Amino acid sequence: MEGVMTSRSGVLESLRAEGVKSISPDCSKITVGMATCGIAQGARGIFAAIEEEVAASKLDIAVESTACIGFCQVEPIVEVYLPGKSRTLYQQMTPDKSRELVAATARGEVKKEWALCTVEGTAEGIPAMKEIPFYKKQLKVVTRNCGFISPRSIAEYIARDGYLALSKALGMKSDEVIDEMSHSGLRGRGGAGFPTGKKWSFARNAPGDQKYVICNGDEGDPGAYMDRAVMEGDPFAVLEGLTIAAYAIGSSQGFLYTREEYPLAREMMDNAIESAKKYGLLGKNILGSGFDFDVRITKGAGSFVCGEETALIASIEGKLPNPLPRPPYPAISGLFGKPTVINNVETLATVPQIIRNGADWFSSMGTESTKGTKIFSLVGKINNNGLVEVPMGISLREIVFDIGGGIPKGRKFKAVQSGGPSGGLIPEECLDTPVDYEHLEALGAIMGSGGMIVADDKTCMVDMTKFFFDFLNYESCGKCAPCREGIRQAHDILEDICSGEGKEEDLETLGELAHTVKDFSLCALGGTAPNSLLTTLRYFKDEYYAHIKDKRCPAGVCKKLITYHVDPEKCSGCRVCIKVCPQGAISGELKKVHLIDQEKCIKCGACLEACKLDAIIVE
Amino acid sequence: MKELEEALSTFKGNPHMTIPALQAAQGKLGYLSREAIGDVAQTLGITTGEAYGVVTFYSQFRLKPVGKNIITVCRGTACHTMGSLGILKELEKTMGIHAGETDEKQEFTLQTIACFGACARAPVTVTEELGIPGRKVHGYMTKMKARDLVDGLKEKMTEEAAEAK
Ligand SMILES: Cc1cc2nc3c(=O)[nH]c(=O)nc-3n(C[C@H](O)[C@H](O)[C@H](O)COP(=O)(O)O)c2cc1C
Ligand code: FES
Repeated sequence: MEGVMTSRSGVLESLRAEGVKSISPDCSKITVGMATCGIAQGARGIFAAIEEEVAASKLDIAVESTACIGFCQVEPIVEVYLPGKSRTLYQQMTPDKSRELVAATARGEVKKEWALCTVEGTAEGIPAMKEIPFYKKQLKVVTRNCGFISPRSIAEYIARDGYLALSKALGMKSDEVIDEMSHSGLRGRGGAGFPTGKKWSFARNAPGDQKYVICNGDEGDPGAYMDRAVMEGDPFAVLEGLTIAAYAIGSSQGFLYTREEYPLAREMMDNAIESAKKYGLLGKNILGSGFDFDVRITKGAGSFVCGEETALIASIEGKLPNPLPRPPYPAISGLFGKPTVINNVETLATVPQIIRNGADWFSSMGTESTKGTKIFSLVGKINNNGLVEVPMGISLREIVFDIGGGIPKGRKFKAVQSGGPSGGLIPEECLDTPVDYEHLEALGAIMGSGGMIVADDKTCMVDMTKFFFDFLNYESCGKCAPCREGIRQAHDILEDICSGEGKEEDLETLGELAHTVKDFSLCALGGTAPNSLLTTLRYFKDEYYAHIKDKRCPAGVCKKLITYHVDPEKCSGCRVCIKVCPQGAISGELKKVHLIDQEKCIKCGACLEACKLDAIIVE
Repeated sequence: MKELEEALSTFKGNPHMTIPALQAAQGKLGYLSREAIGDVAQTLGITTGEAYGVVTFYSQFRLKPVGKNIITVCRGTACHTMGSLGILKELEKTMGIHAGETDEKQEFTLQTIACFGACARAPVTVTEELGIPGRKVHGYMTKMKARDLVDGLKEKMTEEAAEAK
């Protein structure tokens, strides 16, 4: 046993030393955030500019890439490490600014005016990460490595305590590992919130010599992207979590299910699997413990229902991904009929930290019913777009206003949509609710996978609801009638209301349909589908009435119920709107107030977008 | 089909590999022809009907050829809130085709997707060229940027055609 331990720590120790050096080398280091969102904002060009500049001036500066540090609003983000001084993040970088930054770095200086914050050490005039509003109330547990290490480097992962948990777990009995998970109180982050330890113990105790573990990386909730960010930013943590799960239940084969739309996440996971195999952290006889485990990646093909566990299992088996009635639960009879644990990406990435730091450490964070932290994607009409990780129990108001910085352009907050297509819309008066599974459910929404889409007074609640029903109508697999027919009918009624053809009795019909779909659908897709409808009927009924009775869309969204006008006070007569109008519906001379011909106007909104003076009014 | 033989060889006799095999075939041809689906079914040892079931279930699979440029508009929640329907309508108008269609010259295909996971950049549109790996993610789209995007791609095609001569 002692010999095993030495060889175990031998591999980890030498990789750790290597990782420490590459995170904090002797020379300066510039790191570019190159996750999907950074790349979309031009990070590749910045990386190239920095490399070019460093090479051209023959500078002793290391150039690296990392993933997403969460503050997507201020991408592209560049980090500069000055040994012995500070590690600073720079925001909204451009290739030109980056070249200047290289020169400053070569002189050992910081560029105060572009800095966002320091993440290590101090620099005069630059706030520390913990001091800026976006990060102040966050607690980075699952995302602790995202944006801080090179996601391709197993050494850097190990340098930040990676694989200590696996090492520790392999020295424990599998029941002890499961006990630790149960004690921690961790509940699945994929939506349903099922206790992870309990799920593992079902699978562990289920009879069968072949068992499977699956990582659910399907992330079908549109508007949520934390699983992508974790796979792109800390792939080894996901893999380590999956390996511990396998050890705990006694499985030798794992699967990682990713979406077609996430090529970079897949690349990172692929790379992590290869590296882990190379160093004996995956494959046969892991760390000399006698435990064998291998992982295969499978790629989805674009379907929301595929994220549902029984559908996902059918999909891996090559069958049509129609959900099956449960029980039997996958933990008893899952993939190929064998006991199977299926966990979400974020859940699995939390596992190593619980094993490493202990269940008590984890359960000291959060609320009575929901322990730990959760990542939310805070997007939509919000000043600070990004991924935020917060301790459970924080209020929605703190997330939207303190972390998110409120609503852009001084507009008014209307609602926050939590839980994706299965979730609900939460109004202003409920913003002081603490966030955990139970409290969000009491509001009629759900935590779901963590999408939080903020809506302002220019977002129409009826249109939002119709949007979700459009989505669900398309994504319902069609197997059971309540879901298939109920969603379609509700969708058609919502469409009528948005077109000004709604009747008052429609609201009652919608309510009835919602309850039928909720109560009689086969899987949770239908079971949760009516939430957006039920919450908008509960909190925003006035908006429905405005559409139905007054034939008016207060938010100015529903095309058939609005008209475009020129505000004579604001119009300077610049002719910009005349040029962009595809219908030739706007007339007027230079420097005179313009006029929109309502007969010709198709309400495309081109003038609204083009007018720099906000002189187009939507009524 | 000859051109699929190699791409499908690793899936022979493995009925669990329906999705990967179809993805491989579509990767090769750009879409799934009747013949290709038959080949996949035969290679895996499943019925053509079963293969069709899978093809029509997932949004990724296409039954018709695509254009040289594929423009994909995200219709996810964040993008919808930020006005992606307007972007889609603008592209439909500029390109003269509807979502899910390809123009006659097979220069453009317009399609929608549920979410790219770049929601902080909403509304998001992605462009890619058939057969060329890599895609370009365009964030914070506006109608004007949408028109410029199509114009830019058209220009590029004209230039390439001139160069080819
Ligand atoms: C319609 C539907 C879609 C789902 N999509 C996902 C998904 O994209 N990702 C995910 O992890 N779980 C998803 N789930 C939840 C899974 O069924 C399952 O509960 C989860 O993966 C279990 O992992 P956890 O216990 O770690 O949360 C979905 C459920 C339903 C009903
Ligand atoms: S909703 Fe459009 S990228 Fe996520």
